[in-house]
Amino acid sequence: MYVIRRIGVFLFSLILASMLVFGVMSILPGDPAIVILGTRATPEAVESLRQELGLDRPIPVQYADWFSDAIRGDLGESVFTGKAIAPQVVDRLKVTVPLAVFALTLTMLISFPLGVFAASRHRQAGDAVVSVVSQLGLAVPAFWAGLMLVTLFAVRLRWFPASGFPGWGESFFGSVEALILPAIALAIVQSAIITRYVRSAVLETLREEYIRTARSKGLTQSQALWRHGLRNASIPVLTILGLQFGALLAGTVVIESVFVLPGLGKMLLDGISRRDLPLVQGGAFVIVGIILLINLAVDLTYRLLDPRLRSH
Amino acid sequence: MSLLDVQNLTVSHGGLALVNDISFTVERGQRLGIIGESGSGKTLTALAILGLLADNLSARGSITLDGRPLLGLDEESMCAVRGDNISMIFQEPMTALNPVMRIGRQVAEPLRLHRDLDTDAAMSLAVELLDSVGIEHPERRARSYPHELSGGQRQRAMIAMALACGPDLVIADEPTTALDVTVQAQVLSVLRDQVLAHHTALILITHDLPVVASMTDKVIVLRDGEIVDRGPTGTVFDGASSTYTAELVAAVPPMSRSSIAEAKPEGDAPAGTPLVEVRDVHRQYKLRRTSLFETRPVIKALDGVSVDIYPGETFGIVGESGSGKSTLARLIVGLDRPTSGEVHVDGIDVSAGHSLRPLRDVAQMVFQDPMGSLDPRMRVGEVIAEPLRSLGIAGDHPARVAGLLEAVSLPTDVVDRYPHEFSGGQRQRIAIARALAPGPRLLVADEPVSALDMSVQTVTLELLRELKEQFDLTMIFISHDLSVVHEICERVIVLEHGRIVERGAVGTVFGSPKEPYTRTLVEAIPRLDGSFLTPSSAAR
Repeated sequence: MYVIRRIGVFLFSLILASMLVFGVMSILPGDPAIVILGTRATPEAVESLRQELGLDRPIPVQYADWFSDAIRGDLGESVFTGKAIAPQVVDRLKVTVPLAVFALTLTMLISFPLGVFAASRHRQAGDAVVSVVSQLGLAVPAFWAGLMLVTLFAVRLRWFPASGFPGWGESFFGSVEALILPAIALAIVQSAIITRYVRSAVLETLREEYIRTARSKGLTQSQALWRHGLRNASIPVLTILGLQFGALLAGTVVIESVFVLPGLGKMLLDGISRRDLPLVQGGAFVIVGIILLINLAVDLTYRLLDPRLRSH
Repeated sequence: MSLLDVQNLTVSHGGLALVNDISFTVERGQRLGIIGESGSGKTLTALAILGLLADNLSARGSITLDGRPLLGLDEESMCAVRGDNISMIFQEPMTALNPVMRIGRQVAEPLRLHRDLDTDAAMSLAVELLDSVGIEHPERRARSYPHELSGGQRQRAMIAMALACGPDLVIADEPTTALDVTVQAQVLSVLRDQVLAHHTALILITHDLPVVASMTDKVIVLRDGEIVDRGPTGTVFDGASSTYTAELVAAVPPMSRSSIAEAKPEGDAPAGTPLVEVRDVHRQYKLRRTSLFETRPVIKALDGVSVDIYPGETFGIVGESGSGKSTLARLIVGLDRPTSGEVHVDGIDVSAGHSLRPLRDVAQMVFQDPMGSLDPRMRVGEVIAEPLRSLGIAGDHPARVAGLLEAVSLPTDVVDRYPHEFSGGQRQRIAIARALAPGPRLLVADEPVSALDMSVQTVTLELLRELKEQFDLTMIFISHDLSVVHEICERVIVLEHGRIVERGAVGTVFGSPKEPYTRTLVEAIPRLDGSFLTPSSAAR
């Protein structure tokens, strides 16, 4: 029952988001017709192109048209290249999604052990060191971290490529290699944030009475933490992880430019600079859709982690 | 050699001794009661024995189990003792059990740890243990999560867990304080039968004298971290050697003294126009839909309740948790509205739901938890004056606040202090002063003394009685504790599942209950002579 309702909420949010994306794009200055024809075009030519593109119709009609196509997988054509947008988006997702998942995995691999370690060394040297390091991580902008990583590992050590992406079909390992530095750059900031949440969630959990019960049964402090604490502590961390995934996707926009990766973020940036309205609309809609999907997954995962949510 | 020998135990925080130089022994199979009010150091003593004191606390002295020193034992050896030789039962089974782990696994955990059993063997033993503490359908319950069990079942599971490895000593810290009286009687009976059957030594920590009296062979009384009294259970209570113990014994309400209910003279039958009229009130809560094709489940919190309360009386509402007594209180003061039926207070139609501003002058409420119900960031003076300001009552507010503080026996210079600086009893006095500020005619008190220590309870009840005379109040007194209601109220209703099952003068209803439910409640009241427990099978 909950699952059905939650999926309902997802669909409703998706429609609302599509309206928002479409609405904002229609208000923005920059007439696609002028973009296509150039500033020296005659008003008559612009007007006829507007009619051809359907831009003279009322905005709700334009929206209905766009949305009904969009849910069938047709995001229209780019006004710049004239190519269909949907296949491009799919192509770009093949870079962006692996990059985000890679960065998220790195984030969890770094922040979970670090947060648990800091919590178990509460008010000791280890805790202080983790706290200072995570402060530093928070202060570092992702693009700067990216540039530094390139300087060190690509230019000096020549371990990884500095930029570019060979494509999965071309070279699988080459593609993975190309994603390593950008993923690390993204993971640095994210790890700093998540580590702090993991630390405080674990600290909170260690104060719970069931941990004391576990200790009274003869478990050591770390056994009590691993067997009883972690699953409880992961519940609040999951919320943050879901929210931060959105930030991670936003981060890919910048990072893909730094590393010249043909991802969705790069496509959006190019689209914006060329005033390619349908392209930006389509890309933004897909990104919003992914974030909503992640939130749906987070909410459903809660119920796996916490049996109390399942019973009513 | 004693099983447990505690000598000169001192637990301190910085330089402050919270437990000060106490010594006692427990023999094999013996049951020791540790009595004390909050802050007396009774829980710290238990945690010191288990080596589970918080990092900022330190213990000195000696604790030996079977001649083996525990204090100063390395952590690994101590882990081998915990759960195997000594185990513990905590007060609140909801928070003391892991909410995301199935009951069976939690009960089986000590067996896997200390007996090195595999999952299946440990689980089938866990099911047997659950069965032995009287949990029905133990296989199914083993697969349940804590929130799917009732409070009594959870505490039974906790007992099963503590007994899993057949320990020499079980320490139970207020094991039934969070439970209803009828459930308390059942759980205590189970605990007693289990320790008798396995010849397990028991340390029972509680503030509740009747509970200790019926469960233990000997007693120590703790006050401010020191032992003020000790001896065999019977003699300590009969001829109390310290004045403190005598005070504690005197604080036990008459109904809890023996199974023979003291006759209480019936007052005059109430007359005149009722101050509160409750007419056929229903209150239903709809739960969330569980399936698309079924209607939403409905909980009937109140199911056709009618009652009249007359000016000047102290009216009791008793019932167990979930009986609807708090819902009724909230309807009377207009914090909630009935699904159907009418509530009138002093002629004001509370159930109609339009502006209840006039009602606030008439009816005020005192809540159970004086910590939770006072804003921690407001000074005491502001807390008490707030209803005067919000209701736009003119006059000299500081003088009125001072008068109210005097009435509840608090010094008037406390107005600039914050609630956390006061003890539980003092905080409840502040809450009472706040409730009296607008000069109400009706005071609705929902479990006003349940969170307080026994001796503080007595003083607070006495205060309420005096205030009732002084301010010419009508009082509705809600409690799960029949002996308290017996002491302070004249008439009473007994609620079960949202219905009134019995009503009348307190002496009659509790003295010779007509309904089986009332009789169960009365029989479950802990009494100094232990008659509330079911006869022990092991003792026979």
